[in-house]
Amino acid sequence: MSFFRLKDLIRAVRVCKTAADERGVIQRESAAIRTSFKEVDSQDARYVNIQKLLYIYLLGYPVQFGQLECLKLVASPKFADKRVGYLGVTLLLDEKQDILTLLTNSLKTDMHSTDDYIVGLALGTLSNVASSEVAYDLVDEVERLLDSPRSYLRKKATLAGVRIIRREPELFTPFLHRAKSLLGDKHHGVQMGAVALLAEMCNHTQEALDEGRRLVPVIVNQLRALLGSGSSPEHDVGGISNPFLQVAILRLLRVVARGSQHAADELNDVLTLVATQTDSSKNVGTAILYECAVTALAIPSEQALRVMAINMLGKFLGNRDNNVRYVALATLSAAVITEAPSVQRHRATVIQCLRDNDISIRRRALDLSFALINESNVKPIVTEILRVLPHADLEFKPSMVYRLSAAITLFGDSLEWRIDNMLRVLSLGGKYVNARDMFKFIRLIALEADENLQRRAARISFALLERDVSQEKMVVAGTWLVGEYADLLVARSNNAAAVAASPTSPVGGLDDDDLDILGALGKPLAKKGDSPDSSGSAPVLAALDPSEELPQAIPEPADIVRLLSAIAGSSVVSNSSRHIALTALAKLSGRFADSSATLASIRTALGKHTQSMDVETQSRAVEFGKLLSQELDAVRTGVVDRMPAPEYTDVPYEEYVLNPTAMRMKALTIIKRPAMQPVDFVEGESAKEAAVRAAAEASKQSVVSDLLNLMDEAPAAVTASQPATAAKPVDALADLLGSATLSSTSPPTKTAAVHHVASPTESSGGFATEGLDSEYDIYNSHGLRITLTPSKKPTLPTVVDLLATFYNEGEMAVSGLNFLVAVPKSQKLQIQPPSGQHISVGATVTQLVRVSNPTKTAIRLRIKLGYTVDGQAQENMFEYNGFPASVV
Amino acid sequence: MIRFILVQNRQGKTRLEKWYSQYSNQERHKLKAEVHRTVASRDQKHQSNFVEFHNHRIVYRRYAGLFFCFCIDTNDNELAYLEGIHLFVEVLDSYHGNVCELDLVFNFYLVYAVLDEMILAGEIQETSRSVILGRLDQLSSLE
Repeated sequence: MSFFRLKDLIRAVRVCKTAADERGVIQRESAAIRTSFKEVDSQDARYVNIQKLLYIYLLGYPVQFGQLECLKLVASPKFADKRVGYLGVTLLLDEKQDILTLLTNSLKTDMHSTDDYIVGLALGTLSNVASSEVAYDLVDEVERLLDSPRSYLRKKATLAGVRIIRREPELFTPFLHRAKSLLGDKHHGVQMGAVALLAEMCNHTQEALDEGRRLVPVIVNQLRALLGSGSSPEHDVGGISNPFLQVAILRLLRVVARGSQHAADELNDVLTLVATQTDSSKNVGTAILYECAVTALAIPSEQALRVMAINMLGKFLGNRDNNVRYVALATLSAAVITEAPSVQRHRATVIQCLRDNDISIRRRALDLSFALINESNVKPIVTEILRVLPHADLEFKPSMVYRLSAAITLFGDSLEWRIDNMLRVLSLGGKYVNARDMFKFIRLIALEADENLQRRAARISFALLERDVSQEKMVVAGTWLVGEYADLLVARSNNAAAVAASPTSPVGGLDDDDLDILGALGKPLAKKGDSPDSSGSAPVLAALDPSEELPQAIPEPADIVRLLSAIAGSSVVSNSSRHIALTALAKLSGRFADSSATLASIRTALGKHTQSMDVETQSRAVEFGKLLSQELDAVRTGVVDRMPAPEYTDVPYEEYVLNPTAMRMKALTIIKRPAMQPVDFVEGESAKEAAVRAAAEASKQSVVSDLLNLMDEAPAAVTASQPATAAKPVDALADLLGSATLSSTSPPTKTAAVHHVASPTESSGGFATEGLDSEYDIYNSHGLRITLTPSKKPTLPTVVDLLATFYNEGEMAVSGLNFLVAVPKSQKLQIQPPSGQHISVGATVTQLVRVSNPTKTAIRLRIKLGYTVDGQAQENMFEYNGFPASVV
Repeated sequence: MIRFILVQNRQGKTRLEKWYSQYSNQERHKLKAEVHRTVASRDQKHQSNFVEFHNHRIVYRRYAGLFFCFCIDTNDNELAYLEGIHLFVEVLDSYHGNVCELDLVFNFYLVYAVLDEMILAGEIQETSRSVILGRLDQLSSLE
């Protein structure tokens, strides 16, 4: 059964009650169409069949068998047939299919047609599906049509040009010659196409970029014409003349002026004009202003313009439209790298957006808030973020508490403030704190805090735990603190003064009120255990205001035992918290060894768990019970004494945790002018570029020679120049210097200098004074360029961080990126996962490789690289040792 | 540039699909389902019309039961493309005279014709409603 017309088929599908019915109808119809293709060779039948087939395709069924028929239909002389045929081609074929080359002839013939509409159809099809081969075959036809007297064809031809350039960038010559005349075309459609075409060429070739820079005055004139009286009223939207063209031109200007101060200066006036003249009350107006701000920030424009751009975006934050706030936050986040002071001015508005109705705006506001944090504003921002933390979306919380920990650690000035705020983080979001951050916090208190701060932390923890035991890491850390510092925790006459100093804390031991609180809270804790539904944080308890002083409690030993045993007995805490609580109880026996009443209550508390179903809980309870028995009095003190501070190397937080865009934006000179302006822009620019290129060449050269060296004599030389006896003093000296100059930027050079002295044989690199924080090209092929940027933290003199940056400079996306590194045995290696495995065109991906190099031998890397580009898997293995000798 | 354009209804049935980048048939199927899941589940009132999608961004707008989605590069101007969607819908509306989903179902090949007059090679080609409509009228008189 075959339905006669398209309409009938659509109706038949629409009345189907079930998916099975629909499948049946489609199957029958597909079979009928297939038969018809075989038996009937008439274009009329084909026309109907292809139409039906395309409908079936849209429903999601396979119709590949119709591809050839589409090509046949295209050959028909009738416009209607061709239209459906070409539509079928664009939908059913993709550029990977060989069959596409069969299309080339039809396209060529149609582009020579006398009927403009048929030429238009062919150009449209070419623009949408052309492959590399088709691009080569038809570029001449497209070129011819660029000069067509019909604007309708010129505009389609420019966009066909865009497609050709995307597939084969080296075909740019004919298009570049016409760029000027096309840009000046009086039809807006042609201008739109010309702008897109020039931008595309500039992205691919330097020659086009140079031409684009020469054309800046022409482009600026077109933009000025748009700002003036309406040159083409039918393109106006909401009283603004062709906003789409304005946006496209601003975007093109961004492409050509990146990295050129000369071009940026030419744009200064027109960008200011756009910013001041555009009506921001309509969406189209904001779209233009937004593009204008992005352009002003992305080129080395003058400071006044950049500030204006930031203020424009700041104003967007107060806009009622979600979309406008969204783009403003995204742009400000990227701009914070270069324009931190101007962005800081809008901090209050950004923080307001943390409470926005739109989750994506909240997410962006959060990112930006963290990116804004520095030494001077860390306190208010952390307080604000802590305030929203309890109400934040679940998916944000883990990253929020992580970044809060990083911000507090990196920027907090006083130890007391850091401890207080880490406690706030734990008490408000302890469920989401990861174990490493919690250990860092405990380590901080055990290692760096003095007795007063340890006491303070323990007292606050005690008070917080009495309020709430639902935040897991708070329970673990707090219980540990209470157990470890129990002797400091209780009231002693000599520290009453310290406690009295803090205004809101209960003064001088337990008075009646405190007893009330303790009495009340001992019970709720137990009650909580009985009723499973109260496991969430009770609203009253969660209302800890981050701007207020933290509560402190000064309990008696008996209160401590009661709290710990309540925690151990609570059913809402995790097993690991319970284990810590039991251990803390055991520790109390050492802290309060002289009070037999306390010991007795500890034994009772432990005794409750000797029958626990959890093996670990039970064994701890039994073992500690045994430990507390009288026959072990002699050894007990040693066992439960204060723990030595944990010894393990701390991995410090990196600043990019707070501002990931900082990682992505390497070449700031492209978008920002240097502080000292060279007098001659053009020459200064090209000279700098030349220098950069020369340096890249040089480093490439040295890679080659070093690689050769590595094969025969280099390893021997390294071991010879670093005798075991000499290595140690160098290390010690380097450590000394590294830690002595914590905040200055000199450690790299100093360590370099030390190294210089120690092993003069290696210092022939010539880079001895620089080397760190600059980019080294290590690989460039198939459009993928990889660089390594070594850097060091002053606190870790033996560790070199190598930031690998993968630039996709080709025109195909790179996927399945796999970057493996090996180092000599004397060095240790840590590889972080990459920021992505897929690099779209023009994007970058970064990956951190950390080399710990205690013997300070030269860094040699063996690299295994795998990726897929254009469907082809690439595998490479190579060595790199092009770092100057100072990078060790 | 625009990577692809999808028009889907609330049930996820595709009413229009146009691919300006290279995607295999399999990828197309996957993307259609994914876009529908991403876009339809969003809160239409309180959320912006932009959503991150793999390495790109989707700009979408809902008209009655239909979602019009443009997948664009992340450095493109979202606000301008949102306006572009509106222009496309306006043109469809004038062309069909008060357009509804059924018009798009029965005349899907005409919807493609409209789109081809407005967007080519992933770039906006013509932004004047009157120019596009005038052209479309001439084209239909040829059939």
